[in-house]
Amino acid sequence: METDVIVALGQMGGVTAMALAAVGSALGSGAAGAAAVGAWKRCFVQNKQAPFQLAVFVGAPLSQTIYGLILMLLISTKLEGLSPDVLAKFWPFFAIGAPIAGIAMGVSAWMQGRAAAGACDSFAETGKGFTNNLLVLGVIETVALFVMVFVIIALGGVK
Amino acid sequence: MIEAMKKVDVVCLSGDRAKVLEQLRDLEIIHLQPMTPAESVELSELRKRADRLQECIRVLEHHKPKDDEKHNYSEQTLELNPREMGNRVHQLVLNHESCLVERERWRRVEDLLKPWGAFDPALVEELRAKGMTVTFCVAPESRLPAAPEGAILQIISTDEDQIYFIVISEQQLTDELPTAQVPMDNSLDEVKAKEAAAQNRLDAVHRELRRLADFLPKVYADYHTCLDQIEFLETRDGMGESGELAYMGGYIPARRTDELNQAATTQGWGIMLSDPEPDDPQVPTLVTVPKWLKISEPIFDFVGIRPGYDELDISAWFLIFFCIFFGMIIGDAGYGSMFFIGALAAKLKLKGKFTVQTNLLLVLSSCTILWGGLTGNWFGLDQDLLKPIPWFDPDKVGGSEVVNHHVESLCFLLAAIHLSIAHVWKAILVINSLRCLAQVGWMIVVWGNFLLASNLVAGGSYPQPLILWTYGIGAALVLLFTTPNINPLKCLGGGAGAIAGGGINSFVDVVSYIRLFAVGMSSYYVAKSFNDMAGDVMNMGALAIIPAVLILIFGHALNIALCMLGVLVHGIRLNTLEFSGHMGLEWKGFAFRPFARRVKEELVR
Repeated sequence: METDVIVALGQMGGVTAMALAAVGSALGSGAAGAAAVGAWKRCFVQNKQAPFQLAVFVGAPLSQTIYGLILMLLISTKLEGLSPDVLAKFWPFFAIGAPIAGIAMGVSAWMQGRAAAGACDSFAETGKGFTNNLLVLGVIETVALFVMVFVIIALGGVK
Repeated sequence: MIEAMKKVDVVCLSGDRAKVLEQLRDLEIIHLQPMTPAESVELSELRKRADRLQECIRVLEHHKPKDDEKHNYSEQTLELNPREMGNRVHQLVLNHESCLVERERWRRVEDLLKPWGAFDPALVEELRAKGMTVTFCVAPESRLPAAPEGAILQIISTDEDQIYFIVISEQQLTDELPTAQVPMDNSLDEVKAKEAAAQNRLDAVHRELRRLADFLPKVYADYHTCLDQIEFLETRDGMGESGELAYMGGYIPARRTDELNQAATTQGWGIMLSDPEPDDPQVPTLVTVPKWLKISEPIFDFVGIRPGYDELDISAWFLIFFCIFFGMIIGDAGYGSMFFIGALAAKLKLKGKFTVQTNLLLVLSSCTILWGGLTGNWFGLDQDLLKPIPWFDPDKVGGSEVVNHHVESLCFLLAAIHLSIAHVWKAILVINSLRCLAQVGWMIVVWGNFLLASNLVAGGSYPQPLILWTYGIGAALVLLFTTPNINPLKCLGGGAGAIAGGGINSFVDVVSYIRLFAVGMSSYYVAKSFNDMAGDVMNMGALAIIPAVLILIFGHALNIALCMLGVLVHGIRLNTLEFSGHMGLEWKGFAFRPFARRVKEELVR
C-alpha cells in the first residue's frame, strides 16, 4: 500500500475516533437533555424553581468529544513523524484501533448521558446531591479518559 | 471560613411557647430543628391558603397588565383580602377553562356549518315535517353522484377537494349517499354569536386577571407572610413537651452565644449550650468570607453546594482557579472586553444593586482579557496588531502545533498546582501525624503525573529517570504512611490499597485538565469560522455588509453561549470533582438558616 494511502487511512482513523466519540456525546446529551426538559416542566407545573444546574449534567457527556479531538490531533502529529516502514507495519493501529477506541469513548458518553438523565430527575426533585451526581458522572467518564490515556500510551510505542 | 456552631436547647413554659418563638424570631439567631412533625387544623388551613396563593401567583404572572392598563397599585385599594384574592383567582381560572371549552365547542360547530352557508335550520325541519327528505352530503369531486331519480341535487359549495351538496326528494331515498354531519340546533349566525359571546367572557376573565395582576406585589407579600406563619406554627407545634415545659433544639453561631444568653436571661427562658458531636449530620454550615471573597458567593449559590460543617471552606482557591478556568475556556480577549464593558454599564445603571455579581463579572472578564491577550485571540481574528506573547506565537516557536503543546503543558501544570494545593492542605490538617507524609507522597505523585502527561500528550521531553524517581518517591511515601502501623502488613496493606484505588485516578485527574485547552481552542475555531463566513459574504459586494454583520452577530453570540456552557460544565466540574476529590470534600453541608421573618415590612405595606 502506498504511503500516502496509509497516511490518509491513519488520518481517517483519527477523525473517525473523534466522530464516534461525538456520536456518543450527542446520544448522551440528548438523553440528559430530554430528562432536563421534563424535570424543568415538572418544576413549572408544581410552581417550583427550575434549577439551572441541570445544564451542567446535560453538558457532561460533551467531554468525550474533547477526548476524541485530543486523540485525533495526536494521531495526526504522530503520522507525520513516522517512516514508511513503520507506517506500513502499524497502519491497522490507526485505521482500525483508533475508531474502536472512539466507539468505547462514545459508549462512555452515551451511558454518562443516561446517568445524567437520572441526575437531572433527582436534583430537580430534591435540590440535593449535586456533587454526588457529578461524582457518578465523573466515574463513567473515567472510562473514556482511561481509553484516551491508554491509547496515548500505546501510541508512544509506535516507532 | 466555616463558623463554629453551638448546639442549643431552649426550654420554656408550654403556655409561653408562642411568645418565646416570637422573641427568637426577632433575634434571627437560631437554626431550629422541629422536634416532632407538626399537624393541626390551623396549619392545614394555612397550607391550603398558601397553595391557593401560589396558584394565584402562577396565574397572575402570566397576565401582566398591558401598558395602557398599568397603574401604581399603591394608589388603588384592593377590595379583596388575601383569602378572597386566592379564591377569586381560582374561580377566574375555572371560568377561563369553561369559556375555553365552550368557545372551542362553538368553533367546531361553526367549522361544520360553514360550508353550508347561513341557512335556517328551521326551514329544513319544516321541509322534513312536510315529508320531504333533505340530505346533506359531501364527496370528492371525482365521486360526485348523480341526482337520484325524483330528487334534486344542489351543490352548495366547494373547497379544495370536497363538494358540499344537498339532495332533496319527496320520497325516501334508497340510493346510498355520502352524508355529512351537520348540526341542526343553531344557524351559522347564531353559532357565530355564541362563539363571540364565549370569547367576550374569556376576554373579560383576562381583563380581570390583568387587573388583579396589578396587585401581585401584595400577593407575593401575602404568600410569604403565609409561609412565615406556616413555619412559625410548624415550629410551635413541633416543640417537644414534658409536663408543663416545652423545648426545642437548634444551632447558633458560637460568636453569638453571649447575645443568646443575655436574651434568655432577660426574657426568662432556659437554655443549654453544648458543642456539636463530631459526627452530627444536623449541624448547618455558615460560611463567612472576607470582603474580597464575597464575589465567590454567587458561584456557590448557583451551584447550590455547601461544604459540610466538618469539611473545609475552599472558597479562596475555588474562586482563584475558577477565574483561571473561566479565562481559558472563554479564551477571547474581545469577548472578555464585552463582558467587562457590560459589567461596568450594569454597575452604573443598577447603582448599588447586585454589586457582588457585577464585581464577579468584572474579575472574570479581566481574566478572560488577560488570557486572550496573552494568546493573541481577539474575536478569533487573524491580526498583526495585538500579537500573542512569544511562547504562544506560532511564528516564534515553530508552528501552531508547538503552541498547542505549550497550552496543553500549561493545563497540566495548572492541574498539578491545583491538586497539589489539595494535598498540601490535607497534609497540614494532619501535620501532627505520619499520615501527612502520605499526602506529601500523593502530591509528588501528582507531579509525576504532570511529567508523564506532558511527555505523552504535550510533546514534553522530561527525562524518564526523573519521572520514575518522582513516582517512586511519591508511591513509597503513600505506601508507608497512608495507614502508619507497627504491623508491616497493616501498614503496607493500607498504602497498597490507596495506590491501587487512587493511582490511575490521580493520573486521569491531571489529564482531565486538558479540557481547558480543548474547549478554549474550539471557541477560537468557531469564532474564526464565522469570521471567515462573514468575510466570504462581504466579498460579494457592498450590499452584502448587512448579512455579513448579521452572521458575525449571530455567530459570536452563539459562540459566547457555547463558551458559557463550557464554563458551567468544565470550569465548575474541575473544582467540584477533581479538586474536591483530592481534598476529600463531599459537599454534604446545608446552609445555616436562622429562624426569622422572611417578609420585610415595606413589602407588606
